[in-house]
Amino acid sequence: MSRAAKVGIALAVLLGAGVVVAAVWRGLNPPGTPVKVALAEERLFEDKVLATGKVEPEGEIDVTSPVAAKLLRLAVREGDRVKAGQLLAELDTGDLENKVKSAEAALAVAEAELSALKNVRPEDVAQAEAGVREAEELLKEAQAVADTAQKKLERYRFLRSHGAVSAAELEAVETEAARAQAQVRAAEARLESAQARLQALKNPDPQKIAVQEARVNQARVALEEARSQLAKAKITAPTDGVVLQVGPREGDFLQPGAFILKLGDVNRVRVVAELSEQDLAGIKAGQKGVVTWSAYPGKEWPAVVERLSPTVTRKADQTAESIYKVYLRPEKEGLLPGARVDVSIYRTPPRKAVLVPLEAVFGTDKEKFVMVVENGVARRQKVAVGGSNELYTEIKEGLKPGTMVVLNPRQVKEGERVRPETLAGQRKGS
Amino acid sequence: MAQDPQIVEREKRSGGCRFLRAFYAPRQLFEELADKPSFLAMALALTAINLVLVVVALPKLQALTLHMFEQNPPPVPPEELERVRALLPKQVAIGGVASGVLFPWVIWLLVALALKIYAAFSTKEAPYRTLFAVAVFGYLPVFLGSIIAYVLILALPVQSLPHVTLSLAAFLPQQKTLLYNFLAQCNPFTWWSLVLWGLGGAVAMRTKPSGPVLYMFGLWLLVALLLAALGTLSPGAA
Repeated sequence: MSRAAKVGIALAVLLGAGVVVAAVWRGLNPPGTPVKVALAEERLFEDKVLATGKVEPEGEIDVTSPVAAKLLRLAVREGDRVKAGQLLAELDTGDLENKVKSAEAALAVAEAELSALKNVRPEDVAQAEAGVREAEELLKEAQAVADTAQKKLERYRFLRSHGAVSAAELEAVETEAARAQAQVRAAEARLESAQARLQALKNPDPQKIAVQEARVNQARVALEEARSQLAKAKITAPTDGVVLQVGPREGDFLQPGAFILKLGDVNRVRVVAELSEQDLAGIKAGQKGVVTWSAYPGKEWPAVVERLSPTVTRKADQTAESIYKVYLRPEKEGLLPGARVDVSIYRTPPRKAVLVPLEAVFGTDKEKFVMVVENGVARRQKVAVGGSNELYTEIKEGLKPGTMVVLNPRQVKEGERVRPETLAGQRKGS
Repeated sequence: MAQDPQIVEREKRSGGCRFLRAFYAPRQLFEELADKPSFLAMALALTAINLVLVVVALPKLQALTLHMFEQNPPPVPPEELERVRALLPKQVAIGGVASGVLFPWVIWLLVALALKIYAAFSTKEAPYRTLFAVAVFGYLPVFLGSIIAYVLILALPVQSLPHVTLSLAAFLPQQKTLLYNFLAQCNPFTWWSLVLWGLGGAVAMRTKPSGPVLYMFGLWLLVALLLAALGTLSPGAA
């Protein structure tokens, strides 16, 4: 065997032996369980919820058409400031004026009839009395004629019984007597009618008067209604404000309740933030927030949570996404109604605290721990925790800044040798 | 008819001597195998010893598997995780015994096939039986490495075992790099077997050993690089 071969074999043997020795050494000195770690840091801690929102004016009022009419004239434009009572729009009053005139006429007729019932004129009474007298005269005359005719009939009947007059002559006399009796009955009826009229004039019927009074009232109400409708045709501002939106154009025909314009106060606005359902925990009235608007990059509007919606609602009819509305009052002016804005609500206002990543803390509701690394060995450390955000947990007691904590603490045991694999870069606390 | 004295001498040195000659006189051993390629007794003996080693180390292998399972649990629901954990010892036992028996035979078949392919391309005559015998006897260094590995498994605590390797990677801290994974394939006992297989193949083909040895190392290099790349890319690899 050559010298080179011998050297080669010797080196190979040495390599094999070296590998075995290295394997044994590694087996006896294991490098420790690889763990991800981070340092506990003292820094600014805050817990905030981010959401989008919409700016709405306070006391926003929709002005609508009170009647069915054509929009004759718009007296204001979008952006105009108006005072309470100021004319906003006029509706076409042509039909309404006619209605008022018709109601006035109906009332006049009803009132005249009532007056006629209540107030009897003396000439009317005298006329009625004359009528009674005339009827009495006529009755007397009719009775005299009837008496004469009756006597004549009796005489003809006697004569007929003796054959002195023919049957035809008797029949003619009978007819004459019957006609005379009929005239008596007609005269009696006329007298009764004249007496009744006279009686009515002297003593009016209260029931008729009541009916007529009701008719008068009805006509009066109809007139007031017509006048009210006419008055509504002039639409005025119910309050001070700014015209935010105008709906129809002049000439459009409006149904009752149709939108005409929107009034509001641009200096008094609120922000309605739409939070995701999972973010609503911990949100309370009085919490501080910040509103930003893409129209003014870098500018912030401090705001305060004023009230919370009592329900979770769906974002839109077509979607299943639920939202929770939170109402904030901006503390500065400048936000325009209708603007889409970004909202941050602070559950915990910014403050200095010792922080560790969320995943470093484990334990039960009563006791919390972190696994700290000391001289390459994992050690369980009891801690008192404060608030948490989506990244960090605040440590109130039990941990000093700079302490190395294990980020996968459930995978190592107390006293186990660990090998910090990566020192996780502390993310920006927010 | 009188036998060749050399052949008689070789036949005298059979059995256990053959086994030892693989370590100190491999060329002589392979010349003998070329003349009389008997390998069955050695193959069965190696298989049996391998099986015994697996059975002896089985509790430790089961504990090691459970430890690694707990260190890197698969992403399945807890109840499924418990079911898999309960099945693991049985699966390790079946898998360990099966691989202990089958693994050497698969390696021998593949090595013999590789040498046969080399012979075919280099227009040399070498019976497959002879090449299989070469594969069995050339496997002895790998087998020696296995025995050392089993001794380490039995001797060291379970937590240490994932860090133990009989390769050049033992000189580096554990890491997930291509270099580390490649070095983890660089086992001196494998190299030793590769040399023996190349030498034995050359003897069987009656050619110079440099060609078959380089061929075997070339094949190993391809496999080693492939395994190193897979080890680097796989998400659970350390």
